Formats: sequence, structure tokens, C-alpha cells
Amino acid sequence: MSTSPNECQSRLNAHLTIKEAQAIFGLSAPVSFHFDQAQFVGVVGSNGAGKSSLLRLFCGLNHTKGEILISDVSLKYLTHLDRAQRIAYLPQSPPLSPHWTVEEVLKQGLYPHLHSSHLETVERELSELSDRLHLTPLLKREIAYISGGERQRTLIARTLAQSTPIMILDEPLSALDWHTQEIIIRELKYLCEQRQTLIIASIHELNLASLYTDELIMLRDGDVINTGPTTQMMTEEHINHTFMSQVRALEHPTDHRYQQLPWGIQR
Amino acid sequence: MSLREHTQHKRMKPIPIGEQSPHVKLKTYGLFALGLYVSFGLFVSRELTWFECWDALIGGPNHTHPNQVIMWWVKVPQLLTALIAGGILSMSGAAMQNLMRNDLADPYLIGVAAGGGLGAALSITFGLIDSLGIGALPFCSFLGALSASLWIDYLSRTQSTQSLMSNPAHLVLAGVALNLFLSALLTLTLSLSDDQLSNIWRWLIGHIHILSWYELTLLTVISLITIKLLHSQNRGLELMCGGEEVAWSLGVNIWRVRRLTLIAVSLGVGTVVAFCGIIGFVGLLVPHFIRPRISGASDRLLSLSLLYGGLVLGGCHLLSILMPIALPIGVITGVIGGSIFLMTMTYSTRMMS
Repeated sequence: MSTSPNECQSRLNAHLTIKEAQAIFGLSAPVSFHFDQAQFVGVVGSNGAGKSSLLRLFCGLNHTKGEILISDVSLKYLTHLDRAQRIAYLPQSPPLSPHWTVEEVLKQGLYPHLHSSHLETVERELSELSDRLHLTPLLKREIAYISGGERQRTLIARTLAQSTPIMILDEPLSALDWHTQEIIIRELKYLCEQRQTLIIASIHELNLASLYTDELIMLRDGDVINTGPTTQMMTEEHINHTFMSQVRALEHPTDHRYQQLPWGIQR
Repeated sequence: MSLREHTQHKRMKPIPIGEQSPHVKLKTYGLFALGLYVSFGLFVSRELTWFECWDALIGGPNHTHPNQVIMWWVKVPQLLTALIAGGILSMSGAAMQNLMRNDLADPYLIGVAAGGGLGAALSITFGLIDSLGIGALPFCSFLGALSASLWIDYLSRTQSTQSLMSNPAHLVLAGVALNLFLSALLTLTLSLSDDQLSNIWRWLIGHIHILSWYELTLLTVISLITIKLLHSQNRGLELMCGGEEVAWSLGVNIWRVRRLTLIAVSLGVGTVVAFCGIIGFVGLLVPHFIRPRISGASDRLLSLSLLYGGLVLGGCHLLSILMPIALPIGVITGVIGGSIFLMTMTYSTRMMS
């Protein structure tokens, strides 16, 4: 595999365009989006609203009509390895063999780069990443002997190890305690800001979503009902419309740009 | 970044010198056992003494002495057949288990072997061997096995609910149903062909037959193709264990992996079934024995299964020639393999609790 300067560039940043794509499953109408590099996009909605279907559609697993373009190149013209160097996808709870060690799982993320010249760079990044996510002490541990939260961290680390310019994560924060959630979402934010990565993640924790994401996609019953900058989306009206709930949005005490939402029914 | 930092980060965690990782140990033991097996196989015999064996071996493959005929036309081919058949069966079992992400998957359980058996039985019944030569048997068997595995692949795909991925649970369910169906057809063929009944029966129960060198060459060549094909899909098969969507996302061409694996398994298992009949348990047990013992090196699963499968079947073959009565090898693998496996399971369950 050759690495022209052009390819290095596309390894580092890319933008994603979805043109009138119809989902096979889970979404009622065709959707169109454009995401630029270095964006953190949150997908919110209640259970069964179609978050996973939308994310699978974004990475090309769930569309019949329409087109999905990465940096203006259609997904169907990319080879499997080229695609895997550009877009990474973490499903909701993928199976892991109980006999794998954490280190092995992390190294699986290097698979798309195994025969490329930047393998050493990616490997080095992975060892730094496992330090940042506090996985280094667990490296020799077998999957059968780690906790659910550690498992989730391992899965996220494997996806991040692909070091792709576009990452699509389905509920990366589930099964994690609040502190680890903070670590993970800061890591995502860091990738977004420092490495120009485009991150699209479904997030249940609205407070975290409002603090960290740049854009929000709101889903209800298989329909995209609202998209826009997080600051404009995180209003009582939008949230109550999406979740059919009754909440009050309060201003964050120190960070005036965002809003904090306590989950109490307020009339 | 300084050079020192660079080299520090080069590999994630270096293995300390002097400490051997488990898969290397397992490989060493395996090769040692292989040496033992070959020497035992060549020199232990009910008819000949050690010295006669040695003389016959040194004498080379010619007909000058009856002992040489026994050595070169009976013992050596049987030894090799047992090694190859066991290796292919357990390697295919390991590949199927990874592909279907199910511990129960095994060429015998999901009907690939029954398909091969049916193909071979039909070729015997219709006398294809007499008209087309010995090559017709593995060919028909391969066709039977291949159509069985393609059928399973097709069933699993049409049954899957979500877009392009297949559902491993459906794959196994389809396989088990297919196995029952094909086994019934096999029995039907058997009961309809009275004159060939003993022929087919003798062949069906699983036996390391004395193959001619021509047949052995055929078996070896096809097995090498199978091993090569499965080995080329090694990484893909390993990643398939973590779910098809993840493997796809990591850049594995999952359709190619699935297709090539099914073809390779049908080719290998079809041929083994054609020459040795239906030998159960090896393909199921050996990968289960290997898997927990190579944590940290899952990419060695296929090659170690190949080695240990050969050893297990070879060992059973040695036992069967030392037994006072001629027992079919399928019975020995079943009895010994099954009891050891059940014992290990009981032991490890007790350890857990």
C-alpha cells in the first residue's frame, strides 16, 4: 500500500456527507447530512428512537438508496481496508471472546494499518492511548476476568486505536461510572480538537451531551426531528418534544454557554 | 521526539527474555509429542519386533521382504492418514467455531460432514468409483459437503433480520437441521442399497483405512490446499470472533472470509470423510482444548489445532492398533475424547465455584 501525501492527509481528516440515504431498518424517511472535520456530534433520543439505525446508516451498514461520501468519495468505491482507515464504528455491545487478552483486543484496532507505512505511528499512539484510558495495568488480563466498565473502555480503546478521521460510537458511555464517563468523553473531545477527528456518538447522558458536543441530532420514533448546534438544541422546548417529557433546563453555574438539566418533573 | 522515547514506545509491551509465552510452550510440547508419535507408530507393532521394524524401514519402499511391505504399504500410510485427517478435522472445527461464533460449531454438527457422507455414499451406490476411478469418491464427497455448507450460508443469510450481516445463531440452527436431514437421507441411501450395505457401513463408522500411496497423495494435496486457504483467512477468522460488524468495521472482507472458509472446510472435510469415514469429536474438542491455553496469541489457534488434532487422532490410531480387537477409530475418539473432555469440564466447573 502506498502512502502518497494525499493519503496521509485523508488519514488525518475527512468530512462525511450523507445524500438522501434510505435506511433498511429503523428510520422512516431518507436522511441527508453534512459533517465537517473536528466536530463532536451527539445523537439523542429515547430508547427505540432509531439512534443505532442512524449510526449504522452513517457508516454504510444500513442503507439501500442514496449515497454516503467520505471526503467526496463514495463508500462503495473504497476497498475494505481503505474504508477502515477512514471510518471506525463501535456497535452497542459487540461480543468478545472470553479468552482474548485486553492487549490483543486493543491490537485488533491496528488491523487496517498492518501493511501500511504508518504502522509504527499508530502503534505508538495506541500505547499512549492505553495509558490515558488507564488500560495499561490490564493489558495481560483476559476478557473473562475484567469488569463491565473495563470491557467498555477496552472496546472504546480498540475503536480509537484505528485512529480514523471519522469515528462513529454507539453509546460509548454506557456501563461506565461518572468519573470514567468524564475520562472517555474528554478523550473524545481531545481527539476532536487536537486531531480534527469527526466524532458522532449516541449519548444518553444529556448533561454530558450539552457540555461537550458541538452539534446535536434529535430523534423520535424513527424520525430526525431536530438538528443544530448544541447551544440552540438544549432548550426545554426541544428536549421535551424529543423525549415527550417535562424537564426544566437550568443554567450551568460556572459555564454560561451550556445548560444543566436536573431530571425532576417540573410543572 | 527523542530516539529513546521512540524506541520505548515501539512495541506496546515487550515480552521479557527467558519467559516463554504459553503458545510457544504448547508448540514445543506438540512437536515433541509428534516425534514420539512417529517413533512409536513406526516401531510399535503386534506382528514385528523393533529390529524387524528398523530393518524394514531402512530397507526402503520395495517388495523384497514381507516386513517391508507391512512397513511401507500399511504402517507409514496409516500413520500419515491419521495425522492429516485429525489435523484437518480440528483445524476446520476451529475455523467453523470462529466463523459462527459458536462453541458448538463443528463440521460434523452442522451437516458439512453429513453432506460429504451422502455424496460419497451416493457415489458408492451408483458405482461411480468403478467407472470413474478412485478420484470420484473425494470429488462427490466434496460436492456434497460444499452444497451443504453453501446451503447453510444461504439459510443464515436469508434468515438474518438486520441488513447484510448473518446471524450466527441462525447459522447453527440451520446447520443442525441440515445435519439431521442429510443424515436421514444417508440412512435412506444405506437401506436402499442392500448389496453395498457392508461397504458403506464399514466406511461410515470412521476408520483409518490402509490407503494406497496414490490415494494418500490425493489426500495430502487436498489437505495442503485446505490448510493454505484457512491459513490465509487466519486474521479475518480471528476478528470474526468479535462480531461481524466489528470485523467489517476493522476492514475485514467478511463475505470473502466466510466464502473461502466454507469452501476450504468443505474441501478438507469432504476429502477426509471420503477416505476415513465419519470420525466425530476431534473437530469439536481439540480447539476447545487449545483456546484457553493460548491467551494473548489467538492467531495461533488454527495452526495449533492442526498440530494437536493430528496428534490426538494419531494417538487414538496407535491405541486402536494395540487393542486386541479391531475397534473403529471413531469409537475410540468418542469414548476417550468425550470422557477426558467431560472430566476437564467437571474439574474446571468445580474450580470456578
